[in-house]
Amino acid sequence: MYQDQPEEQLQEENYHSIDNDTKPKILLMGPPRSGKSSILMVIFEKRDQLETVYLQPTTDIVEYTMYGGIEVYDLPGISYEHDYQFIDLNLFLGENTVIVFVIDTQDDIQKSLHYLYSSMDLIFSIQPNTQFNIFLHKIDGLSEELRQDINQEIQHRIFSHMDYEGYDNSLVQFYLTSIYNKSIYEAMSRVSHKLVPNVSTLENILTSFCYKSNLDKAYLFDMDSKLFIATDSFPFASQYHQFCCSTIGLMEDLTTMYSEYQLNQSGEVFSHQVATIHLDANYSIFTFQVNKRLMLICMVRDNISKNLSLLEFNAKKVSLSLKKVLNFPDSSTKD
Amino acid sequence: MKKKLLLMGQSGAGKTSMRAIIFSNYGAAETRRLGATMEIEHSSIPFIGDLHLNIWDCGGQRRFMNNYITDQKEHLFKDAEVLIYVFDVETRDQAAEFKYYEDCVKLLSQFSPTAKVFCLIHKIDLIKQDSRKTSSVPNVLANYKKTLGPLSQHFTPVFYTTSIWSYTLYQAWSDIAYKLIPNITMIENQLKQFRQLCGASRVVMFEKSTFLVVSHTQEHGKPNPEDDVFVRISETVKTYRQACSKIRAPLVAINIRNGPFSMFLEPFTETTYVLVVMNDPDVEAAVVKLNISSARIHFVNLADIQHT
Repeated sequence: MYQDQPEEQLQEENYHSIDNDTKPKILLMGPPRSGKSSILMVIFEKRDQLETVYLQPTTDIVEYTMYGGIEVYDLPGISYEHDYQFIDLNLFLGENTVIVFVIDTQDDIQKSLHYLYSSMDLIFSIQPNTQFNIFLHKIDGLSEELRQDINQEIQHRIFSHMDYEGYDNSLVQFYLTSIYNKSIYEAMSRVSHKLVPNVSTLENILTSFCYKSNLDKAYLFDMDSKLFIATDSFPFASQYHQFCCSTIGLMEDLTTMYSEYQLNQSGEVFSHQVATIHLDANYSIFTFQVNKRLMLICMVRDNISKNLSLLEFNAKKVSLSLKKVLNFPDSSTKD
Repeated sequence: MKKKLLLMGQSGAGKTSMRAIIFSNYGAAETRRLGATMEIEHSSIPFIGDLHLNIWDCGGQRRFMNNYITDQKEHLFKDAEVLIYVFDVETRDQAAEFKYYEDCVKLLSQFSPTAKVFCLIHKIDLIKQDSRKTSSVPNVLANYKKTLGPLSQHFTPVFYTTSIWSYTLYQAWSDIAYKLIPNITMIENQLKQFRQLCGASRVVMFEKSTFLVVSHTQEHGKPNPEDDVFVRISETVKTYRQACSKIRAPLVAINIRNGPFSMFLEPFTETTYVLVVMNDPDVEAAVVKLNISSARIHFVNLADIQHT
């Protein structure tokens, strides 16, 4: 269908054109009012969740940039699938494009699935190996039992459809999400991991950091979006991830309090920040700022006050190697 | 020492909401779950030192109100230390509201003439800002002051404009709490001394459960903190504490270091937390912690001295 577009219009497009074909991109798709814009606003604009209730339908493509130069596009949801021809998907679909498809679990699922199938047909015809990350969204309003039922049913239906069409099942992954808790951050992080280069190296560094420094868990977080870029390979517990998100919030709020204060004196912006948070039950959180955007958050089940300087020394070494591996092209590498 | 605190106002004015936000860690949006208060809800809240706040949250329905000023008047207004009267800016029947206020204050002056009166002009977020500024917040406040002043008997009520959606509520309650602490000047002086002794640029003392500011002191010549700095800290710490309780590990202390700058949030006396902000790279973290723990003993004794 996209071929129908006149040639001139293609050139007039001011979106990034074919030369950055390999640029990492995330496309958010889904039926109207499924919560695409809300997700991005909560993550990238730090809007309050309640504010997103009043959002108007998106009519234009909105672009956000993530760490590592990952571009995130919010495609307007259109009531029937043929309208995607007005957006030239060819421009967005490159080798490093992943799709996030948002399904409102509190809405008519059959309709959403039809929408998904037609999007799949369209996208696989352009780029057959595109990965679909399906967010079963607005899960917060459902009971635990219903969640599992809906999750199973949707997975089953999508897989049988894909079998029927002869698509590769492994291209699809499912996440249960809600903007009212931190699950959306976890899901988005997981999606972005597919695009971050060398993510396994980062993982190895963090894992060895955990072994050497006796840590429970170590995360590398992007401060702005509260998404984590990498974590160690120990079992993942979403409650600890949620807790780390809260920790970032705390750091942000506490540092804004004194950043202005410091500016008044020397005009300098703060540099490396180290924080320790003591919790009861011999639990501690240790955070170490890698650069302006990135932060290491470690959970320690030990009293760290004894060997804090050692831990700090290790963290410094780790952050150096992380920076080397990441080697981000944009300003995020500048200290 | 117990202090009886009456929380009154018409039904739907927001009395229980503000109580839930300040004392029970509710978020502003969560208060819409709260139902109407029937009769009087009592709650006793341990506050600074040995001070207990006995909050009498009086349901505001007309039926209850009439009861308060007739049958229950002695029971209710006797030995009250504080009357907090909440006015709803969106009320439909302002005349009735003022009438009840007058009645309450009259009875208060009869049964406990030494009480303090605070008037909260609540829900100011609903005041529409129009271009002519006829209904701006200061104007509304002035109107209330003009009407309520003559009705207040011999009391001189303190007015606050508040909203649960901004820091104003927290500020008003901090101020009220501050006025209730008996040895506050002593605490303040000691805190100032403590700040000088450990070379901190700022020391803030928070109440432990509500995180209301008890007292704060800072170096001379430093800019005064913005109004909402403390409320932001308080809110952040309170939400963080909730996150901590989810992983069953209550928060104990926070320490952030950044170049020459460091801040310590440590438990202080049994009912307080202290925030120490340092701006001196030469001072070791361990020294500050030692200072805090030695000051802790002193401040605990301070409460005892006052008591005996």
